[in-house]
Amino acid sequence: LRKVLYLIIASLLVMGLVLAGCPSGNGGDTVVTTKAIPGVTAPATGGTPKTSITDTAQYTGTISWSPAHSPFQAETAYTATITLTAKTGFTFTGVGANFFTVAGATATNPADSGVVTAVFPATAPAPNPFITFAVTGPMTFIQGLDHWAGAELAKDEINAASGVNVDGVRHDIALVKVETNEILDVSGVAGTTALTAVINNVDFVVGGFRTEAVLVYREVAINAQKIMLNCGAATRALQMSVVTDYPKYKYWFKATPYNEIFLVRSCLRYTGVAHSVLRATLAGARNALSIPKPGGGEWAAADIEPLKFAILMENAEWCNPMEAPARDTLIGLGLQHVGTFKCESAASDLSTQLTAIAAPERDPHIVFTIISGPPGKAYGSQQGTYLPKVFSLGINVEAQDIKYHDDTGASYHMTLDTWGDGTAVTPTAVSWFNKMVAKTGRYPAYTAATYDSIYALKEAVEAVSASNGWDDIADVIAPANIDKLIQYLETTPRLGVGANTFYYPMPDLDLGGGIYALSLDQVLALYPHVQDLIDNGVYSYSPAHWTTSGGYVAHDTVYGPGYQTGIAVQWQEVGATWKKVAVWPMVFTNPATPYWQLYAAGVVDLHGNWNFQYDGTVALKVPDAWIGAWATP
Amino acid sequence: MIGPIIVQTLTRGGIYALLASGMSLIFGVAHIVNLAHTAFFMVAAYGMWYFMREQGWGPLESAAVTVPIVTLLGILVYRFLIDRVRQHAQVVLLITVALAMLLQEALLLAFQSHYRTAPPLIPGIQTIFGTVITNQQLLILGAVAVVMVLMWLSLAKTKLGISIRATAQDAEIANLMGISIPRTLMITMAIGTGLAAVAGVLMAPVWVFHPHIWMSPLTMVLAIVILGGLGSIKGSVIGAFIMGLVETLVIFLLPEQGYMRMAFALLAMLVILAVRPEGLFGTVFEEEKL
Repeated sequence: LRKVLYLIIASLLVMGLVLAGCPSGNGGDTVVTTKAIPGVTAPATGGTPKTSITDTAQYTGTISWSPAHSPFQAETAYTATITLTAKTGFTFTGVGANFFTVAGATATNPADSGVVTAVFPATAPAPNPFITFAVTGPMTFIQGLDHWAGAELAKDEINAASGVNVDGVRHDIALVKVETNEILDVSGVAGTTALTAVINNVDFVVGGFRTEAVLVYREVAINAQKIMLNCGAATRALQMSVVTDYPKYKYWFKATPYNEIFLVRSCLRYTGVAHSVLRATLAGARNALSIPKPGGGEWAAADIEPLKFAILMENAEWCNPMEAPARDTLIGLGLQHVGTFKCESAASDLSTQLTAIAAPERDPHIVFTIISGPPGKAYGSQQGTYLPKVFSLGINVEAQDIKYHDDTGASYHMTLDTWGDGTAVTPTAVSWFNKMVAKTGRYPAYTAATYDSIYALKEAVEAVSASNGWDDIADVIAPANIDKLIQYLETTPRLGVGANTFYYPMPDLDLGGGIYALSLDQVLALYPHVQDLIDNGVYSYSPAHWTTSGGYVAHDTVYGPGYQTGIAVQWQEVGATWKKVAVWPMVFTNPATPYWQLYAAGVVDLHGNWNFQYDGTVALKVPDAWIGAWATP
Repeated sequence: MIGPIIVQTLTRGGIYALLASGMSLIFGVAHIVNLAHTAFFMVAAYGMWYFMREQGWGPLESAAVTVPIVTLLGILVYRFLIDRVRQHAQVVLLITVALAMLLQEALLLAFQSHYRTAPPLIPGIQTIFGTVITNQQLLILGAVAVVMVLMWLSLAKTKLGISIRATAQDAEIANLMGISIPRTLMITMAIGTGLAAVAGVLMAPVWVFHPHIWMSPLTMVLAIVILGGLGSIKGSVIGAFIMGLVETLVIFLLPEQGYMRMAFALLAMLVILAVRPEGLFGTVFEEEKL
């Protein structure tokens, strides 16, 4: 009996083991309960299809896509077939029809099945192709910040409107910030490295500030055959390379400012006007104070003793060529030069220089500045203390800043500039200026001309692409085609927010010795009034008047009324607020005079008639402290 | 012209003296060439600008907060960075340069590269020898004098001063005499950094500063410390006024070469070192070797 009992127990054990090893039937497994299938990413244009789901505790799964694109394409409805495999202990037997769900899709499945069909909505339309601009500059300094701010405003406006129409295909603008650190690294090494890193991914380059650095890093753009619009480095030498090696440097254009030759001209032109105002003011003050004039009679401007001036400048590439012409011209106007004082371009304290200028044997009436950066700010802070008797004019880039007066306390300082508060240098200037102030909290620096540069290139691309049937920016800027774009820029003036920008042509005449000149035809094409001057016998054309060394360099911006003039601004109290307002150009003689008759007086010159003013220009103010200091002879 | 030259030499030299004395003290005692010294000066200048211009605080409150913060920063830097490697001069140089650049980038991030000036602590001007001098510059001159006297008194007359001088002369012997060298060095670092902070507070209204301003005075301060004799505070002060005089003379007499003032000052330093290689008040190298 015991043996029978053992036999029965052993049989039962064997049966149990056999049963345990058999596949489980419906009755032994748990029906899958996880409805939401995780890890099925909805198709997005340009995305890569996933081929498996995220495992759950109950099942794994693979995904196949129809149509089988990789990456996903635009405006296409995709269907994912998801094949689920139950994990041990689970079964799909018992799962209802359309049990499973997939995020973002309509999912279906037959009953008792792990095969799920997920239908996704059509993918989005493809994004517009981009035209990409590298914006180069010292991005933590005002100059670079405004390079960027100007470019950003242009981008936002263009993209919010209809983009760039490249022969019917909308392209949007994209910007790449390139930190060149060129105020501190004038070697251009940082700029070269930064621009090299992005040059293959951009279509155009705009920006640049410090000539020394730009000379070096622009080579990256030139070698890549990308058009670069320089919005900051003045020096004429940058454009001379276009004249001497056009095939290589034809991609290089100067958008702003005009070169140092014309910077000096404008500076001296407005200084001459200010000098006349100062002398007339002194004469009026002496008459008001009943100060007797030697020989009797009323004081007139011509009776005032020669005013003395000192030049305060930084030792920088853009300043050095200006010193001699400024000194000689002011001496020619009858002023006495008491010294030129050069400081480092990073000088933080000018107290010693200003004390030296104030020494009794110098003691000037006027300080003519050619400064930017820290010396400009230091001058604003310290002039009132050490040189309270001087009138300040010339170029001081820091005086263009909206906080110049608040930070330094400087009053009535003048500087050459591009924009003034409320000054309509072009029809769109004032509204744009106000937009920039609202956007940045600053007056725009001249480097914000990146705004005009991007618009100029937009218009060039649209015109060239339309006339040649190129609907892709890559075709427009292809080395084989880019000459069309260059030709457009060379031949088409554009009225922007800063000026009517146009470029000097390649000079027709080679005068030898590395000097080139514009022919009479080229001159008249730019300055038609010169024909009047010739016809009326006040001027005879000579190539020597129109040389590259005189500033007429190919791809440099054209100078003069109707093109770029610049403005002189002065810090004045307007209401209760100190503002930077335009005081020059100004109407200072009878406009009814036939303009060519003013050539001898210098009011009209080869660049046009300077007897005009922009809307919003105000009268120059001479501070009472200056009058008080010099009223007594 | 002599009056303005004297006045400008004193003000320019005073600024340099204040900067150089702190650096000289740290070098003399701890033998640490702290290239971040002018970065601490820069941070203090920013502190004054921030509290006075941005927060609208008065000059005293601003200085009362700025100087301790910068001094504490110096202590932390010493404790956690320099102290561990101070036996390795090259590593200290690298660490302090890296620290200066970090401070530069931090200020750049916080305030960008705008040029800043702080309001004067004492507004107004005086005329001395027919030359205008601001009250701020007079304050700097007064502060230099007070700081120098305090330093001399504390080094000569106090127990702490004796500890510092003993450590400077021979740290091992000083240690055997029961002086805590780490504590003495940390206090020295605090004093040196505090002097840089005071210089920053006083100079914030005089200089236009920006996040890279630390580089320019660093060259001059190093030159002054070497000219005065490494570690000699007295030498640094005299060296500072010599450099100030050379710079002022260049600007007054060669105004068109004024931008080369530092080059001329460094040339003067080289000439003096050619005659006295140990500097004005430094240890004669041959003696040191013995």
